[in-house]
Amino acid sequence: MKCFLQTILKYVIIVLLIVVPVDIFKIYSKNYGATVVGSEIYCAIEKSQKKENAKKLLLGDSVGHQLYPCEKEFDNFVSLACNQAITMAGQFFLLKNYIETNVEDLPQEVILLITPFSLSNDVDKHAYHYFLKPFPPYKWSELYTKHLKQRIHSIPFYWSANLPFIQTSSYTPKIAVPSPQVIESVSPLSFEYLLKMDSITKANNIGFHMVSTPIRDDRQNDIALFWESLPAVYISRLSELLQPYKESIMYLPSEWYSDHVHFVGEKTPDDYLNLLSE
Amino acid sequence: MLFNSIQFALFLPIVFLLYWFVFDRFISKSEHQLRLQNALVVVASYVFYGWWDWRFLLLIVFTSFCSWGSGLLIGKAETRKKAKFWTTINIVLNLGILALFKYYDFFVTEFAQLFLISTDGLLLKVILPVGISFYTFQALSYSIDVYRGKIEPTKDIIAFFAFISFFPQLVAGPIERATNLLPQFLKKREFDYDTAVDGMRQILWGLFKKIVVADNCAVYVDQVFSSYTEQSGSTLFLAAIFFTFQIYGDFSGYSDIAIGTAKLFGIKLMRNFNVPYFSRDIAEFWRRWHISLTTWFRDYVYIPLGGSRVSKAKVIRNTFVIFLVSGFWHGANWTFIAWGAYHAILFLPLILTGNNRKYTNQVAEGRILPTMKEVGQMLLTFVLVVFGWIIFRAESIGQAWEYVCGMIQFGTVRASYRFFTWSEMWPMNLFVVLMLVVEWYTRNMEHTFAIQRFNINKWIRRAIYIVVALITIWYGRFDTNQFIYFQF
Repeated sequence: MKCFLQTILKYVIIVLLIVVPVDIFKIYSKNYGATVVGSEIYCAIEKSQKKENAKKLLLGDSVGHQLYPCEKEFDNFVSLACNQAITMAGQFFLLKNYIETNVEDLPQEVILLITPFSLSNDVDKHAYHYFLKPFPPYKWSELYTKHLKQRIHSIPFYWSANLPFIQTSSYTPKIAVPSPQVIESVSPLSFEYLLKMDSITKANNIGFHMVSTPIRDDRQNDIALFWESLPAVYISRLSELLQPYKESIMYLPSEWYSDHVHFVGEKTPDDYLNLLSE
Repeated sequence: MLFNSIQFALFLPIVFLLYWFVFDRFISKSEHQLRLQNALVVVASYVFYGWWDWRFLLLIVFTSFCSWGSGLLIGKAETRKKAKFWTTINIVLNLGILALFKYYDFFVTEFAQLFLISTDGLLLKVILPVGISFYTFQALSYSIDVYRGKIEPTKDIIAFFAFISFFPQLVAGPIERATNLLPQFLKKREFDYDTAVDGMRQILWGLFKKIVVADNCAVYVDQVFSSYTEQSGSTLFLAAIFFTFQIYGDFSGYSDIAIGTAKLFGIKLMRNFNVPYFSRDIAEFWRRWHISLTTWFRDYVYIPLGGSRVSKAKVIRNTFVIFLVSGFWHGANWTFIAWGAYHAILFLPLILTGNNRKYTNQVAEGRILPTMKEVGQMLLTFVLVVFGWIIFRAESIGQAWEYVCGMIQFGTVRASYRFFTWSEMWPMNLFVVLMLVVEWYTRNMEHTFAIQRFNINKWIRRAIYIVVALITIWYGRFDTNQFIYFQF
């Protein structure tokens, strides 16, 4: 028995001695993002820390990413559109990164291209992998609001996202938080971080707009419900952003969609593909 | 609790240490040790199971108690008729529970559709208790074997409860026979270094198959099956092949982890998979796939019906019965019945021509590589199995049909935009090939990772273990995917 435990312990130590340094190296050399699930987020983070010379900056969710992938170079704008699971806090971190890196050559306009359903994300079951790992608490907790902290602390083993071999793997604990697909309105988290995005852009004289991605025409009732259940305080404090956002919503036939929000590959709408070339 | 979860990674060492150190070392009397070890197995198994939903523990307790009690009554019965009566009572009770939780809503819905009546207020809409089909069949095997005189009824209720609920195989098998497992709980277990190390090897390979192969394939397969109307023929074909490896990696991976874990506790479980994708015909495939279920149906359904030693008409009937029941065992859906029927149709020509036991040895025995004929036979069997899995995986027979029709429209291998880039797909391809290569070379072994039997330098062998562990950590998907067979 003793011999067995010693053997197992030896193997565990050897594996850890390989895994931990390699993963630490991977994290510091930033070359693991492409191999984990959600590689687009790591691409967006990397790009947000690069000096660019663009007049427009695009942020967005996975539908935004489908239209303007962050991996792609565009002529007149930079896209950091990646995934809704990074929450609005993640979008703010990307924006803050970009502004701080490009402080000498700031964009004139920031566009947040996002489906309304993504705004209901208040840290969901995907947050551990798609938010905590790319934005680990040890690096980003200073920018957490009280509400975000509370939500993150509700994730089992949230602290483990700081561990190098967790960051570079696809491990996710089973998380019992509501799915974002349950229709709600703008979440408290999105509200807080939209305000932060608004104020950071205003402080730097950058225009900030929200644009909706096209919605399936069979979800018009969901959208109506979304606006109906929007709290009054959000409407009053975000009216400059939300009113034009509401007007930007357009509906497309449901055959264009592969699921509740994403387009079928070859049916990405041309109008939207040309949105930022204007 | 899932085998591939942090909870299990903490649970297993705690139970292991308690089992061997506390209840084995510090308790002097041998019979007390045994009782306490069995009691620990029961408590640990109930914690393991209750992690999902503790309410369903009542079902396990009920099933265990009924089967234990019926065993005693069968043993005490003065006449064969009385023994048969108690056996029947136990079968009815156990199958009744299974029918209620698993099939009731299905039958009500189907009858309502047939007679155009509403199902309002008729459906139970209960959650299917995890592993109910597995432990029910295990309990049934006990009372039938007691009735048949293959095993003496046990008075030791704790050992019996441990036999029904033994956590490594509680929720997805192997479905053990009382004749194999129960006696192991009735005698003192000694810790054996070689067995425990071998168990760890099997766990490692099981994790590789589940976390690396099956769960990586699952990402691709789930997306293609959920949007199959939008995919090209070749993408659908590829997804069907990947599902074939996913279900194998998932289920045989689970079985390896279960058997390996049992070895840590000094318990030997039966083999559940024996490289089924290297089969040369469908009959051989069924001797190698989910062996514990196939042999269960053979022993308790097929042979009592007369097996193949009856008229041809009855052989056809028996073959269909066993495959249809086996399909239906997997779930209350027409797809599973159709899957069973599909395999019955493939199996029938072999049994009618007496060729169903043509290949009982391992393919390419004594050779490294197979002959061209064997390759052709294996490929043909594999393709037939792949088509079967499409029916199995689809949500309805209509969907399965549409999927197969979609496959016929061959196009270029083009995956839909968001989900599959080559960088995401290459590990999946590589690991499937790696699994096949390793399993081919170890196909004569007791299990794939029993490589200590090879004449390999011990340092190379150790390096192989470490490399497999590293691949599992770095390329595995730990996003808590359920095991497919839990739903059955």
